[in-house]
Order: sequence, then C-alpha cells, then structure tokens
Amino acid sequence: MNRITRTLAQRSVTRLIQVACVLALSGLALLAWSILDPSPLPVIAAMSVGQGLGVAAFLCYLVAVLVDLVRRTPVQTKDGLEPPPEGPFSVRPERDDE
Amino acid sequence: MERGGGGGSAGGREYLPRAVLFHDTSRNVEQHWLGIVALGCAGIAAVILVVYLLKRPVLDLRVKLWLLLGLGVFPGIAGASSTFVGMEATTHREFCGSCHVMIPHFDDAAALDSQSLGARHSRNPYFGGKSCYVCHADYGMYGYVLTKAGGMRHVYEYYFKGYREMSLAEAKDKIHLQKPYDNLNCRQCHTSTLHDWRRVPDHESLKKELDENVVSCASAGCHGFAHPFSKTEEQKRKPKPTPGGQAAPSASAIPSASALPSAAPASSGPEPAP
Repeated sequence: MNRITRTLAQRSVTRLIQVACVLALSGLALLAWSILDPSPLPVIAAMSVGQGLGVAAFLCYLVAVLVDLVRRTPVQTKDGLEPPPEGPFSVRPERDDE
Repeated sequence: MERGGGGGSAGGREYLPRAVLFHDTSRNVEQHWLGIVALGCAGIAAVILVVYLLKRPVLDLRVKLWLLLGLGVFPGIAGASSTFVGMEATTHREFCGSCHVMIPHFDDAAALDSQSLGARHSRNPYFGGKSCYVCHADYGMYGYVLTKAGGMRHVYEYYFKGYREMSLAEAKDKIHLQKPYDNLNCRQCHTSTLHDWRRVPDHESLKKELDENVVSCASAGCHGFAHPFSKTEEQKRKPKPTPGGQAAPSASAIPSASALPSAAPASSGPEPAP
C-alpha cells in the first residue's frame, strides 16, 4: 500500500489531469457520435469504450486530487504542524510539472 | 386508447396488449430531448476540458471544481442520457436492418405488399417501427438484459466471426436462430387465455403442443412464416407434425387462422439472427 502511495505521489498531478482531459474528450466524442449516428458500431463503441474512457478519466481526476491532497497535508509533530518532509511528497503544490 | 389486435375484455375490463406500450409518444419525445441533453452536456464538458488544456491554470480549489464539472458531472449526465437514447435506438427496425445480412428481412418487413408475418406486424402503427425487437425480445424479469446480451453476441459475430464478409446468399444458408422461436413471444401480445384466441378450434386442439413449442405459431400449417424467403421450398411445403403422428392442418385448410389480423410472428425454422 505504501509503495502504491509513493508511486502515485511521484506522478505529476498536472500530467494526470491532462490525461484525464484527453480520455474524457475521446469518450465524449464517441458518445456524441453514437447520438448523431445511432448505428450498431457507434452505439456499442460509445456504451463500451466511451464509457470506459469516461470512467478512466474520472478515476485519473480523483487520483490526481488525492495525490494533491497528500502532498499538501502538513505533518503533525510534537512542536505542531510542519510542512511535508523532503521526498516525493515535498513537490510544490502549484504547477508541479514545471 | 384503441384496443390492439390481441386484446380483449376480461370480466368487463378492457385489456391492453403489451404492444400498445411501445407506442408511447411521450417516450419518443423524451428520447429526443435526452439526446439534446446528452449532446449539450458533452459540449459543455468538452469546452471546460479544452479551456483547461489550453490555459493550464494553477490547480487550486476553483479549478478543481471546474474539472469536477468537466470530468464528472457533465460527462455523467451525458453518459446516462446517451445510454438511454442508445438503448432505445437499438430497438428500432432500422438499427437491426443496418447489418447487410438483415437487408432481406428489413426489406420484407417494409414491403407494403408483403403478407409475411414480419411485414404485417411491421405495418402495425403501435409498434411497427420496433417490430424486430417486439417480436424477438426475450420477456420476463431479465428479458431486457438477456436480449441486449444476445444483441452483443450478434455484433461480435458480425465483426469477428465472418458475418460481415458473408454474402447474402451465404448468410441465408449459414446464419440461423440460436434456438427455436418461442411461442411465448407471440403470446405476450396474442394472449392465449382470452376468448379471441380460444375460439379458434386449432388453438384449443394444439394447446399442449403450442405450450411446449412443438408446434410453432409461425409454421407453414398455422400462421405462415415470419420471413418466408429464408425458408427452403421443402420447409415451406412440409406441414408440422403433431405428437400424435398427424400432420397439422395446412395454411390453406385453415384460412381463417392465417387471415386473422392478430396473426402471430414466429418461426421455428432456420432464420437469420435478428
């Protein structure tokens, strides 16, 4: 579990959001195609691939938000709250891919 | 609402056959609006996502909420409404006829001069536009899901099992219904419990065979084939044997049965898959 958390934390939040946007746009394109041309291939593509892409995009977004929250979480010490320690969690919260 | 062909009255109550439910104008309007809602939500979500990709703002709370709308809320609404619209589209006759192996069935159903069961049912104003689905769908608790699963199998076989490359002549010989057509599907509308059905002597005498699918409503000796072009001449001539060893009466012997406006759509012989 710890390894997964670390792996996620090392991912760029912005990159994850970008991937989510691209996935969602692809899924939405399939969805629109199925409504404008309701023939077997578009309808089934929209209901399977399209919805899969949409779910994947939303999961990417959730993971990105989660990672962002983890990075921003201050550490509780005996002297009070301190910024996150050095390491994969210490990436600047804003524009972390720069 | 007008009473359908298979309806009747039981105990003074007007009986509406299931088929009438398919002719619900409000549902068609709903479907039309849902399509617009789906496209609208998809468009709004796309605008949010494209703006984010172009501007790449700092990921603060405001941006996260916008992204929640663009990646969660609007696509969710669009996905739900498009699923409803898509599932509804799969019940239309044009959808079934869009695969080339179904063209003869589609053309026969649309032919005004055709007297096949498929064509006569397709001319019904209540459900003619969905005649393939109404006649071939499984009914019962899981009927809708099972029907859609069967449709997925058809798509799989069309794209991956060679149906797509098959010529029409080949398709007629090679593609068959997976299982014999169930008389129960006919009886969803043409109920066998009311007087209209029971007053036909052949129905009463063949009730057990009809219940057990030994005799098909859509056989040469009864109401005729649903899609007659897919039958061989031998199949067309061959009367259905009854368990007692006697052949069922031919169509010409019971003109009243085949002339009934409530003739049932069915076929127990080989047919291209719906």
